[in-house]
Amino acid sequence: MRNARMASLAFAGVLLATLSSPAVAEGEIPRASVDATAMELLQGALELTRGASSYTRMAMKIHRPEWERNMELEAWTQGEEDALIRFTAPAKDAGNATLKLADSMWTFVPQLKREARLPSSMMSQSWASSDFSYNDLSRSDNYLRYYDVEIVEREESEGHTIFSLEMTPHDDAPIVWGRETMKLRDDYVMLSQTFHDQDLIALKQMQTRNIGPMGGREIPLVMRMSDLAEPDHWTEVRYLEADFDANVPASKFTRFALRSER
Amino acid sequence: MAAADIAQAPPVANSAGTGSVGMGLYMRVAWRNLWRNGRRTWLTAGGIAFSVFLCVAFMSFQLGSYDGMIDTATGMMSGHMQVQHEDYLDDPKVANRIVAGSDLLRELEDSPDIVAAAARVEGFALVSVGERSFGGLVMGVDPVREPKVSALSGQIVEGEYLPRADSAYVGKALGTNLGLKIGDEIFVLGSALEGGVAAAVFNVDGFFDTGQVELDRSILQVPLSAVQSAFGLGDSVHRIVLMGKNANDATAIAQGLAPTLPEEVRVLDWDKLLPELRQMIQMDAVTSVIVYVLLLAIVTLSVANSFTMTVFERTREFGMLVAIGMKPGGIVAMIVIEALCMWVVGTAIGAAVSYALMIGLGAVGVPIAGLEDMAGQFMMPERIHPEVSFLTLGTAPVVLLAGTLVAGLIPALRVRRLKPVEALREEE
Repeated sequence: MRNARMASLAFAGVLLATLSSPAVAEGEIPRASVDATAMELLQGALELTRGASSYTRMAMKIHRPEWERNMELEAWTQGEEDALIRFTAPAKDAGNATLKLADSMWTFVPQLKREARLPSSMMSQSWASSDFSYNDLSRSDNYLRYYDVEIVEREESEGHTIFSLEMTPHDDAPIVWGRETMKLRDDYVMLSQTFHDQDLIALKQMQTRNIGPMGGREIPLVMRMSDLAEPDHWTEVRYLEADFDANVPASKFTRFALRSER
Repeated sequence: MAAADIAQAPPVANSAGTGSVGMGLYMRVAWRNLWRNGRRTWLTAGGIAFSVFLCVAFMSFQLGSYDGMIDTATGMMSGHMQVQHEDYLDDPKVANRIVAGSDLLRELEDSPDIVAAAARVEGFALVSVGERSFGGLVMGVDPVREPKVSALSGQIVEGEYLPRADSAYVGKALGTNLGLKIGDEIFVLGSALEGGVAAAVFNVDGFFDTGQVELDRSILQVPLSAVQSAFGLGDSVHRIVLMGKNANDATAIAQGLAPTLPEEVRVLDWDKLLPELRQMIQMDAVTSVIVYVLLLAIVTLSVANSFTMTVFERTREFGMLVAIGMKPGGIVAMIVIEALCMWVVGTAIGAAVSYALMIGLGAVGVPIAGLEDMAGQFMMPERIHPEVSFLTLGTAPVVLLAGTLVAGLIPALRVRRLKPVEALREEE
């Protein structure tokens, strides 16, 4: 099913912008037409990212009322499914890494030289104390095939068409959310995504706070995931460096690579 | 003179003896009346005796099992009381902690009402071995203090209880799910207090099996300081578990402790920690009260029936008594005293048998053999000690005393409307 390929578009984690950004050079970005269907939008975005591999460096700030933590991380992606994320700062967390291969995830702790595979029961837990859950990092094809997608609104803003999408999981879908809503610009830049529970109360929201050129194209440079249930709880990710045409070897996405590098 | 003496004597004797001699006479007559129909009296008294026995025995066992349930349930993990951050009960996250944990623990230990105290930290984490991993509640405990507030260390089925600083004591079901055996190494991975990764490695040194699936499947205990450092908690703790002398004193002790605690810290008694326990007891109590009420009502009705018969059969006798000058009130009193005597006989037998049995069983306890699985599930102790108290021993006799008096009084009051002439014409 083609619609299953919308997967990485809704990939709401740190890798979201990377994976859902067009993998073609600036200036050639095809715009989605105003009357594009929901499926065309999502598929179009995915066609552009297919097969691409990327390297990005990001700063992540976890904000709480009582404390704030600044971290830095590197991420490599391959296609829509595989990713390796490694923290580089602060020193205490440097080397901690998460590997995602299709549906499976592992975390490696270099201080203890141990890795753990994440069971599905843990996927809703917070990733590295941030407002992202492992689920946010690991959403993939078969996960997303359970959604009905609908365009609920189109608006014109600053020369772009902005589509509001509503994604409702099927009744029997193994999805924790009751509904997800998304604002997507016609050049496939995601502006916001909101996660609602089964009672359709909004619990988490990801917002693009700054859009700019990097790695040869327009991407969301700063994104913030806010916990709507807890005031003043948010995690912000800022791109420091991006190469969307990086030639990342396939060996990067292996358990061996997870363990072997710092 | 002699005639005058005789004429004056009875009033003197009467006025002097109304209280003692008169009452004694009533008692004697009532007692004798009771045995004019011995079979009926024995049957009615037997009913009273049997219901006293049933009520006393059931109530003693019931309340005894409640005490046992409370002791077992509070003794497993929760303790009689807990000191926690004020938000921890509703939102048990790592950040809702008591900051200077060891100081507060020492202070509480010095409190005269507290028999034992132990601190815990808890964090939800991934427990992993090889390719397998499960979410679990990692509980940091003090291996010396913890066994005094929790029976978990006694539920050991294999190995030892936290012998080393990197030991883990793992629920049997969690161990099975992870394919663990004694000596295996487990990797624990969670989120630290102020961001970042909380990770630690432990050695499996013991397994426990409580029979309560939710504990056996999710909990692993490890030494307190290991969890505090892995989660970046410093000296913070999440719970200080307290034991008093008796679970029933928890509320009073908790009230006494509350004003001495630091800000944002509160003390909770087991009623609040285990609300389902109190609800379970209340639900059970309500259904049994209905049974007791029915049982005692039936016995009261049978006593009333027996006295109604008596009053009908003895109409002629009462007519004659009134005719020779006895006041109807006296007859009512006599019948009520008869009822009272009936109660004394029945209760004496029922109480003697049941009290002896309950006091004896209360001392040794009654094993619930073959119900170990159910016992684990429903927090039942392995032996029930029937409770011997004023409530369990006294309720049935007192209720039946009231019931018997009413049962005697209602038919007796008919005597006040008795017309001696008509009554005397009744066939005996």
